[in-house]
Amino acid sequence: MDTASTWSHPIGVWFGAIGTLALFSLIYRENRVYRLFEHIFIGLAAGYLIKTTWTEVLGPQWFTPLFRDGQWPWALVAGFGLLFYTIFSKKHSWMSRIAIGTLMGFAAGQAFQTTASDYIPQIRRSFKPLYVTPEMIPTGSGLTTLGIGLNNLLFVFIMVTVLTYFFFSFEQKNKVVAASARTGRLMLMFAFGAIFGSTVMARMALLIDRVWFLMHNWLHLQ
Amino acid sequence: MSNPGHPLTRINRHWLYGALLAIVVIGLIVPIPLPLAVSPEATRFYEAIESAPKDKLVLVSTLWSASTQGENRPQTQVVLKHLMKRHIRFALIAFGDAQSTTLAQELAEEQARIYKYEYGKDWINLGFRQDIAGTLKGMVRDINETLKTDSVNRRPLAEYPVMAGVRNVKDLSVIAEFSASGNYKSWVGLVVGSTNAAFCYAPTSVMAPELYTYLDSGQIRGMLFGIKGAAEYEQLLGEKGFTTRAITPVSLALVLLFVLIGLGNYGMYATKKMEGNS
Repeated sequence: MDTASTWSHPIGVWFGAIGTLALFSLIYRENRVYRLFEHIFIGLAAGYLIKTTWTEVLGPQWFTPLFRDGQWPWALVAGFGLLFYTIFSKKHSWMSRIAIGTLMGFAAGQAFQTTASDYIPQIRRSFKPLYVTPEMIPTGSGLTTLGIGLNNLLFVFIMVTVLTYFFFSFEQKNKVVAASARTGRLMLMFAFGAIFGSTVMARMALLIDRVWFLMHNWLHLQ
Repeated sequence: MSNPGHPLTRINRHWLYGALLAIVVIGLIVPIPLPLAVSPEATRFYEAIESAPKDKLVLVSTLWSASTQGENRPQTQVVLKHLMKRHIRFALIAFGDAQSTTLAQELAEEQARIYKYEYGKDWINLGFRQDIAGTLKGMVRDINETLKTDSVNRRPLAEYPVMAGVRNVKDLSVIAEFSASGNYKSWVGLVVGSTNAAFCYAPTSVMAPELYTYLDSGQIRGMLFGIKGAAEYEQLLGEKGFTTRAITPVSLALVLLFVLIGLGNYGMYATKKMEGNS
């Protein structure tokens, strides 16, 4: 991997290598070196977040306009933000609800918009034709009407069975409904299996990245 | 005396970790050319960049940190490489994780040196924003007004040639997000409906399965499935870099896990059988 600028300085490479080995030492057993580097990592990440929030957000978006450009209405934002901290006072904690309530209102309004844009196209797309004509085949796809039809049938079958599984409003005594729900649960298990497999692949990728760093950047083996 | 179980159930876990490490090291040292089928979603991501007009800006959004750079970094790298090969101008923006903006900046600088990309003319860094929903809503209306300055020189965006002709998200050709988080919902919910720009997503492998419904509905144009997606993209670019090399140990490690799961299950089965016989 080309990490020339990130790991160009030998001190950075050595610190990265020692940190990597220290964190991997947990595989052998719990130890103090691991704990030390775990705390260093978390502390660095938290400190970096504070620094970047100031340099990228609060500094240019709030401090500069307020104190250098004289845009005084930005002071109201600070007052509003400080209302959150009144939660620590029994006498004034009611004031924090103003800030919390306002933000909840914003979030609820956004949720309306995002829910509609998020799910409606998917619901619309779930109405798939089971009878496929040659005109429906995407050009250059190499698919057949039978293939698309079977694919759509499988999609609808899985969707209906999974939805049946989530009918919790009544007891699933009917044999057809119960069988459909059981099939739906089985289909969900397949999906969870795929997610588990993907998770394993992700973890392997992270391991490989670190091993490559040790081999390539630190030991110069490759 | 209690049954100690089948020997397969008593293997010290350190041997298993050792075997995994050995597989990874061998896979990285000895490049075994395993076949890699390029998925339709990676092809669509590639085609979105390949067909992007040269006079329009591509927005590259990042939300990843050191903890997921094993997957997100190669993804970002191959797409930046593709953009620069085609000489398409692009803007970086980072959300959620503060490390993201620095890591993406470093990566872009590395590639910019190789492809002679000039900051401000060919690419720009729009910086880091904590509030994704508010920022995206602002960008739908006016990018310059919402973000105001770049993060490198702190100069107004309108002063940069790279931002010429860009007012809001409608003026973008592609939005590519590289993420270790689920903020695709914000993009889909707040931006995708407001622009004709192709929205492409590069998540970690953990998140990728949940995105297929979005690919099916067309809300997400293309996707890179973790490191595998990056390797596929590299193949489409006609290059053999780190991801092509890394995909071999990934495959070998997964085979090892299959074998170990099989052996573990056989060990449990054999132990129960032994208990039944005793």
